[in-house]
Amino acid sequence: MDVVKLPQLISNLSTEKKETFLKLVILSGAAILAFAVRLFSVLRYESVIHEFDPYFNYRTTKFLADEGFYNFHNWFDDRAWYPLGRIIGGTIYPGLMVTSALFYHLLNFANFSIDVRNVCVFLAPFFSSLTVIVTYLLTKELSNASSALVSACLIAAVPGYISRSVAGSYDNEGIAIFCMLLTYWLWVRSVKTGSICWAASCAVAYFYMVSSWGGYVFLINLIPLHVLVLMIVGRFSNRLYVAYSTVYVLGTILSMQISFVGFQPVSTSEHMASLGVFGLCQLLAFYNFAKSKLTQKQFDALFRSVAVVVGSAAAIGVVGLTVTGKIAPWTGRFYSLLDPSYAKNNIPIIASVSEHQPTSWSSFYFDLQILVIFFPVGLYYCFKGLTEANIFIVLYGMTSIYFAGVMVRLMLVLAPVMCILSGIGISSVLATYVKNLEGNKGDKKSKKSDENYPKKSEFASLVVFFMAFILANYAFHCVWVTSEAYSSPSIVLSARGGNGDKIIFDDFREAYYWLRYNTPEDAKVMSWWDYGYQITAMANRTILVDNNTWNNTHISRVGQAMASPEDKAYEIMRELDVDYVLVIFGGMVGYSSDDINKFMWMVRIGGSTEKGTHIKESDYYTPQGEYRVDKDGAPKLLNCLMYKLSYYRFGQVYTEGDKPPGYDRVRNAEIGNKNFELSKLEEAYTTEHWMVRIYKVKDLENRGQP
Amino acid sequence: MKILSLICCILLGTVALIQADSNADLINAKVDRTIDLTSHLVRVTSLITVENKATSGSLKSYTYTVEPAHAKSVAFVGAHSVEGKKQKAKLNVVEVSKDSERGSLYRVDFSEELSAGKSAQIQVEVVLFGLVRPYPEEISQHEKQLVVFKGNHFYYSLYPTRSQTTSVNLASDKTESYSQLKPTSKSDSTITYGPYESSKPFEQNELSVHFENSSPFLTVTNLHRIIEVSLWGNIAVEETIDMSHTGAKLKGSFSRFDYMRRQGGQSSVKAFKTLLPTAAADVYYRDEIGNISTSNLRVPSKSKGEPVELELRPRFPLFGGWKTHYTVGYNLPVYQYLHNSGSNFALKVKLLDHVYDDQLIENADIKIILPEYASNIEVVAPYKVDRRPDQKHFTYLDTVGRPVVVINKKYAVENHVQDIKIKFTYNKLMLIQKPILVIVFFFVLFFAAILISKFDFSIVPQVQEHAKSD
Repeated sequence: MDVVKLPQLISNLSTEKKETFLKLVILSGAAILAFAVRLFSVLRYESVIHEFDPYFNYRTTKFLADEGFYNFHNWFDDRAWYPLGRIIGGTIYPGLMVTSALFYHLLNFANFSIDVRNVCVFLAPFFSSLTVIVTYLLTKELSNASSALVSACLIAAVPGYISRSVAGSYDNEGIAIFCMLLTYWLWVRSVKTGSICWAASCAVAYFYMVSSWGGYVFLINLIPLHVLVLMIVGRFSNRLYVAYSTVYVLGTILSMQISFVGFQPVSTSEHMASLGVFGLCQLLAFYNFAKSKLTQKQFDALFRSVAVVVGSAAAIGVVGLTVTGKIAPWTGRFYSLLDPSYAKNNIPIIASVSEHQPTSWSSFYFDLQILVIFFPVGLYYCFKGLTEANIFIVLYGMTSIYFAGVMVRLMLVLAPVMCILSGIGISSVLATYVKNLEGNKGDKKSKKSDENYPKKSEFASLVVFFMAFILANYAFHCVWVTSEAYSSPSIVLSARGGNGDKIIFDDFREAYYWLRYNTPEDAKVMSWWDYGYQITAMANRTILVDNNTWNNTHISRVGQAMASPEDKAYEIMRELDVDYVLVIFGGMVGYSSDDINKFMWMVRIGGSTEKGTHIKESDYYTPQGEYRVDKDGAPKLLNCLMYKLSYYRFGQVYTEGDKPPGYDRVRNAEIGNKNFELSKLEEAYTTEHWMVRIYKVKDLENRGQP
Repeated sequence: MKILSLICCILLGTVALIQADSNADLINAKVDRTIDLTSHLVRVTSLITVENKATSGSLKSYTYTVEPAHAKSVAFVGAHSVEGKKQKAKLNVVEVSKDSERGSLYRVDFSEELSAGKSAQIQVEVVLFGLVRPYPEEISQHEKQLVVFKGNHFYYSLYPTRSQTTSVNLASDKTESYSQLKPTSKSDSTITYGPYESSKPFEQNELSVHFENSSPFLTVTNLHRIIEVSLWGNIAVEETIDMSHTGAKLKGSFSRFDYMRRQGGQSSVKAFKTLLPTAAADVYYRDEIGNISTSNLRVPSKSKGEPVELELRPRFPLFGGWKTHYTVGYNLPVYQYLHNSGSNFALKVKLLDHVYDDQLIENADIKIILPEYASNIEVVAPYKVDRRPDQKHFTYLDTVGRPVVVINKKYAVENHVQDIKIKFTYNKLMLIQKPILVIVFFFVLFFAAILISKFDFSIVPQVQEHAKSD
């Protein structure tokens, strides 16, 4: 096709076709942008898996791709949680792995050579493109095509979502947001049409969502909430009845097929709301049906008896089942959702994860920028023309904004609804003012109202200009945030050297690779749980604890070993059959998230179980309550295993020109315990920048030797 | 059957021996032997003056012998004829027999027959591996690596030798001990044995040197080399290498602090240089867990034809007993390596390439992937290799698969860096097969899309889906 003829060709199309064409162009543009903006880290570093959890997902995906689903389902992993092991197949949401393995096999079947790692790296950006499309569909159901396009463009680059879906960030959330919005779209659609077909599709989408992320619980509570609210405001209809009954029954049965979920949908309290609403639906439908068939008197009698019987039966049932333990009480993570201070007071292991912390105000602006302002505007427009679908998005918005405030990580759930509502808001505002622009003079009415609306056109162009400005600003902000904050793999670090050169710190992989090739195949490595997934994936060695944190006592035992003096720790390490100990140390180059800075969590978690009652947090602080590693530090701290392993022979190193040897560049202090030797361990390897230090646990000494 | 074939073997062996022994008129008039022990490989270079003492008849070949103790350690044997001090023609060398009693025999064919009473000079170069052994076998980080070599004071030969000298080049002038057989002298890092007069055939006397050698004892235990030829203009070469430090094992702990202060660890390997072909482009260096950021590429000016120098630093320094694994890959322009006349093509590439100086590759698997539909494949190897059954390889848009030539070679050293020639026929029209495939695919796709959108497939006529009101 000639380039010159293209505009002519377009202008020959009918208005409807032009519109379709424009929509297609904008939507595919947004989808491509969503993919492209997430590639910063690949371009800047390499095609590599990021952070911690993605390494586990990558490892399991590789296993699935190589061994097949059946073996994957039955996989007992003896590389983690030594000596307990972990049943992988039954303790993960397999949706992510199955999706990538499917892509991998499909592409290779068509003879496109691609390895599992690249499929994993590019899966999240790919699904972000799909999310853009599904956001368009969802918003179109809620409002109109133009706000749908705005929402699609907004979600393509919203930092709150990018943070979890950059290339290499291979985690459940990467595909879960897509599944969630897909389920919502199909749900809204099935409520609108009352068709079993749409409702069944919604149940299938819900099944995909359940298979990929634990956050499905949000869905299974939001949808019943929507139904409940519709009932209360008197919008209960047969369409809603058909939609919800189908989605609930099918969805629940399907979700129970995921072995990690199992019988939870019928036994835990998180799922009870959906069951209750389902029952209510039946009652209400029966009520409507009976009302239409019976006389008022008959109906009243029936209503009273049924209400009493059903009400008391349900109450007795719920109480009885809870008492007998058939309905599991809420888990800690859910308590912490409802009461943000719960975790802090009760479960240190949940509190120690940074992404479980309450969200700070600034991060709302950082992750959502102008969406924060346009969100209420969108809400206003939704309330203006309230429909069943709009009620849904309002509920979604209100609940998720609460959850995002409780836990940083749930910002991810908030981001899409922010985009949708802001899209509606922005598009409605623009639609109002674009009409007033000077170009549209065809209206006769506008001339009349001009007298009490002076400078109408100028004002309109000002508003449009202003909107264009903040939207452009939003785009710049998103790209900047993505590039600066969310595109570092965290496995490779980089810094600017004195002469402006880029210095790469690749110490983690250096250490893991050393472990992989230079330790016995069955060596057991002890480290703090943060590094568990990375060690199993990259070093292929057995570890004691990992990021799955399912066994608090085991982690606590490791914490106790780290917090004890060397000989005590040696006993624990012998008990746990440890061969190597790995610690992260940032004092040489100033890497602040090292083990010494995480150490107080080890003490807290170590002291939180029965065996560790002798470990008290206060012993590791100075009498003034300070945490210091220099001479004034608590003697318990200066002699514990973690301290010794971090600072072994560091006391002789000059890190900064004018400072004494052994100057820690993270804590900005000269270390307090310098010239000590290790008796039960020996240095096996230390990386180039000292960031990872590996020690070998010595065997017991031969008997009879002095 | 087995017995029969055994007998056959024995018969053939004896025939070969008889043939070798028939040259009993030969004599080594003068032998200058250099044993080079500067690396972990042993290079024995013998300059031999051969004399035909017979009164009549001329001889075609000379038999070179490797002592039984070293017979299993031979990586390479090559020979040149020498005139004055200059090497001349390369001579053909064939292994004739290997037995535990007399060692390995190699037949070296003269460039021109040696007639009665005449003498000729030949130079034989032998590369042996695994004979320089670390002793003690384990050292700590600050200790120096000591090695021991055991050999023969005499030039081991099928023939009597009139006069001979042997000089042993060591890696350093520090020796713990060395065997003496008068006359013996040592200056700096060279030990000279001889001259010894008139020694008998197969005479042995143990030579042993115990000395300091801090050169990198690197061994490539496994090398997978894949050469993928595309007629669209590119040859992709990828080498996956398992490498280990086979010197004295590290005993006790590794101290980064001492390593930083450069105390000890002389025998450890921090980096090494790999030479790539001049035209190599898009070089990458990675392993299972991603890119290895520590490498330097020095690209020379193209006109000079110097190789591309790639300085590879493993993720961690290699101490004795430590292993690593990595992949290096690059692209080459096809026109420099592939020639054709009509539909007959000939590919000439290095069968093995330089990995590091004084390399030893224990096992090399080489796969050469030819274009799809290449047929009549003929392989001309520069030396004896083990050719395995051909395979098929499927990649982008392949339908019947690409033929793969699979070659295995054990114990290769730098002398084995030579070209292999592969001839095949290929119909050039096949080049457009893939673009047509893509065009047809998209055509069908769009056509199907048009069909689906234009026709109504529903059983009952569609009604408005959106029920706007109850």
